[in-house]
Amino acid sequence: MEKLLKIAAANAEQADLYYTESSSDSIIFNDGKLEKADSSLSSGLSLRIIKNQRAGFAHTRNLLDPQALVKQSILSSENGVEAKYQLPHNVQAQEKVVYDPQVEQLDKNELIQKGNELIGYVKARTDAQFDLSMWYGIGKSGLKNTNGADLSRIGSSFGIFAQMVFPGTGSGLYTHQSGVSPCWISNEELDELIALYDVCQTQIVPPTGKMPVIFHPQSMHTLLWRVVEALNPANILSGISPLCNRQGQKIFSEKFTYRQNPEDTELSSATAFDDEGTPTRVLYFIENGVLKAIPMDLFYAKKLGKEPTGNGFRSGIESMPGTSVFNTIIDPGTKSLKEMIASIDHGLIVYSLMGAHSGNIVSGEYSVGVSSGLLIQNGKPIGRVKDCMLSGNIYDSLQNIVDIENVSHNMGGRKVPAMLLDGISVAGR
Amino acid sequence: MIDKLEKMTAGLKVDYYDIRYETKQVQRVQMNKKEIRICDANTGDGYVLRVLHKGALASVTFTRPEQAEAAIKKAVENAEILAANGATPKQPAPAPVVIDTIKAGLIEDPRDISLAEKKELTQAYSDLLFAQPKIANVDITYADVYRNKFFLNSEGSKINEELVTTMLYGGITAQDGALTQPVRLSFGGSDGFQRVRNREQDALKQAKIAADLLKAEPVKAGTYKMILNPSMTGVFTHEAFGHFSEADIVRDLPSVRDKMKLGTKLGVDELNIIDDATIPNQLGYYRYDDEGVAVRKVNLMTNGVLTGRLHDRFTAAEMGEAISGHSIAEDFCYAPIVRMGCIFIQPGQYSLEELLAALEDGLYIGDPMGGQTTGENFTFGAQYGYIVKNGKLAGMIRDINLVGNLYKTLLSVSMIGKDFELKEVGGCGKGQTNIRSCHGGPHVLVNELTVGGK
Repeated sequence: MEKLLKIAAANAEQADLYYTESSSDSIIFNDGKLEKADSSLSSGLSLRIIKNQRAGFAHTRNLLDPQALVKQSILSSENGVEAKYQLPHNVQAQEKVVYDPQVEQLDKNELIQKGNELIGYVKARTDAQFDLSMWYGIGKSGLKNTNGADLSRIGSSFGIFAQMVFPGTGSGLYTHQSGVSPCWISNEELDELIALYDVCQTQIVPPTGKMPVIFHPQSMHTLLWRVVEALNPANILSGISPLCNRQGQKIFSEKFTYRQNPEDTELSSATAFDDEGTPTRVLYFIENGVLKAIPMDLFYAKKLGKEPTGNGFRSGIESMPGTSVFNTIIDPGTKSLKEMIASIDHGLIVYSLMGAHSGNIVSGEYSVGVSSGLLIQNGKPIGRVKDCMLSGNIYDSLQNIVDIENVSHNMGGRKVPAMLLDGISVAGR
Repeated sequence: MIDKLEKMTAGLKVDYYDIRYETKQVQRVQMNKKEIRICDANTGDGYVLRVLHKGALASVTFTRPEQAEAAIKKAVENAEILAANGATPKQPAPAPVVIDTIKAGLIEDPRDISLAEKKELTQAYSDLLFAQPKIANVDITYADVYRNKFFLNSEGSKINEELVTTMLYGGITAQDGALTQPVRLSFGGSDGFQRVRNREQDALKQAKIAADLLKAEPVKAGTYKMILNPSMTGVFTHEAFGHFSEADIVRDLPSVRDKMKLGTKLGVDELNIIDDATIPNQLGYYRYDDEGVAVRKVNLMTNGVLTGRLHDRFTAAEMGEAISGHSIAEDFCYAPIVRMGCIFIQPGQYSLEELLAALEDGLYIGDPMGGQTTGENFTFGAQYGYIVKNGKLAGMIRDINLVGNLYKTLLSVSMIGKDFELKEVGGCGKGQTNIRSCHGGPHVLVNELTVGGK
């Protein structure tokens, strides 16, 4: 790798080298029966060079010929992407600890036995189809550049996912835990899931109309996706984002604060620098409903004439850095989920939605089918909704936040509370 | 390469194994708002090993040849753990031993064309679209993907097959004040670069739809009688019905297994649904799947009755049905799973005019914009549509999302058109992406589907 960077330095003005090495394991139980145990070992590196203010990009899984890889990146730069930015100089960063050596010591036999116990607990209490999966792994990555940066990190992760499937569908009710260290699902969580599943035995087509809807943390993704797309600097630059030129303005309810905290090591993506070597920072995107910050990688910071925010990340060695948010948090509110449900006379709580990726996402529009949700009457869930759609626009919906749950749940890469929104259009019977 | 794989697995003493080594060469040009964002040519490679040992099947993927020994050890260990913990025993259904080499059938080989020319072509489309009225943004990507696959199994099959996929796709956004309307375009296929040349008229058609949508009315929520265009018919066939024809999905959902028993009548008499990856020159073409089984045409539904299913060797053995050659992996990062090849509703006998006349009042639904299913329920977005009055296209509508139930919809199909179109760019995501997933069909008249709206 040193040799590769040297060759690159001799042929270009700047260069950076990003490399990964990871191993992962998974265990899958289907309908209570052990089904799969698979493993993966993966590594690779990518080279970005900047020559004549153009970026070139090349990657490989097996570095056989450093000279050829540099040549490949130069060919790419000749046709390539504008790059008027400087790669970070002499980055010094104390990396966050998102590594637990216990993950490397896990015994698959033991995990399977624990999984069987969990399945036994559920099977004794319900006839529902019960699926369980676990995955865990270690990921190492590093970044070196010709301006002196030499950074590396190691991370571990563990996740467990348990689902009761509604007959005739692939959807159902689920619960999951994930983090840097091995974690587990408690019997209390399973009891709650079983109780909810029982309520779901009754199926109801809700009446069409506007009503309060609780978005459970598992379905908040649909709304957040639209916020993130609007914050994307590519959509700001092209002018199609509704957040274009609106910094400092109140966009959403003052109850809504959406931020990123690189320091939060309960979230496995905590890091002191991004995949370009820019130090990360605490960023409030939306503070009390007001648009405060747009995340930016090196490219978009230069294009928009701003400072990079440390949001240049890569989805793997095959991709150039792009802007993405990480370690994000929606600040919790004051009520418990139970209190929120109890406060509804007639409305819904939705767990999973389908079609989040369809429609005009940047504009904030959503129109989604409810694949898992309950109808609430007089403060109580009375049955599972079917043949029902929600639709609206986040710029209306997130103005009408009635309550936010008092806990922000760790959903893997982000922390999200449940949110009660009023006046959501529901299409049913 | 095959001999290297033989050497790698020489000491392996198990009931069955297969190993696949692939190189994947990708050339990409991506433009956002007139700006080149990606322009590169790269190759990746890696190995996928599957081992059947003590009745358990385990897979390991790895990227460096020196990891082979560790990978083999891990796969055997995983299988032993599965067997020791009572995993359901598996076996592959019998399949012919195949020794074959398949070159990609290309009219114009994208590998012979320079990256510079690909960049120029992409820029030309981008410039053309930007010059159209009301167009505020164009995101456009060119890509060609060359997979060179080497497959070896313990039964003696040795196959080398090339798959070359060319695509040009993107989004066009029209804007008028605060209102934006997105429309997509996608050209490409399995038979060469010529697919993305000379498509200016098709691109302009999409730009016009985007601009027209600025004046369209948001559709009113409700239940309608409607005509689905061929591309929407394809999405319905693939998403709502097709995934339930994949044996692994049916196997994993016991409650669906009963409903999808072969011989069950689920659709109207006129309805015939086929998966046929062997049709030459369409996007989904291949000869052998990633278990080395030759793909065959499968009649999934015949006159409304379920008559076939898509299988890998293990699901076929488990369900006692015929192998079909539908075990497909995205690339060297994945073990294969059951996938559709090219699924479609067989054309019927009516012209679009006849369908419109029969519809009288209702909706015409145009190209899809994302779709998702959970079991028997589906949601599909549409890029545009029209209100139909007295059998004629009246005003344009926007913000369309269809929601429905598979079984109800199969019985709600009332007339099947005689035209036929297959999609040119794929991207089915079932844990891994299948860029050659092809689907299509004719115009179809459906008696009842629900549209969400405000």
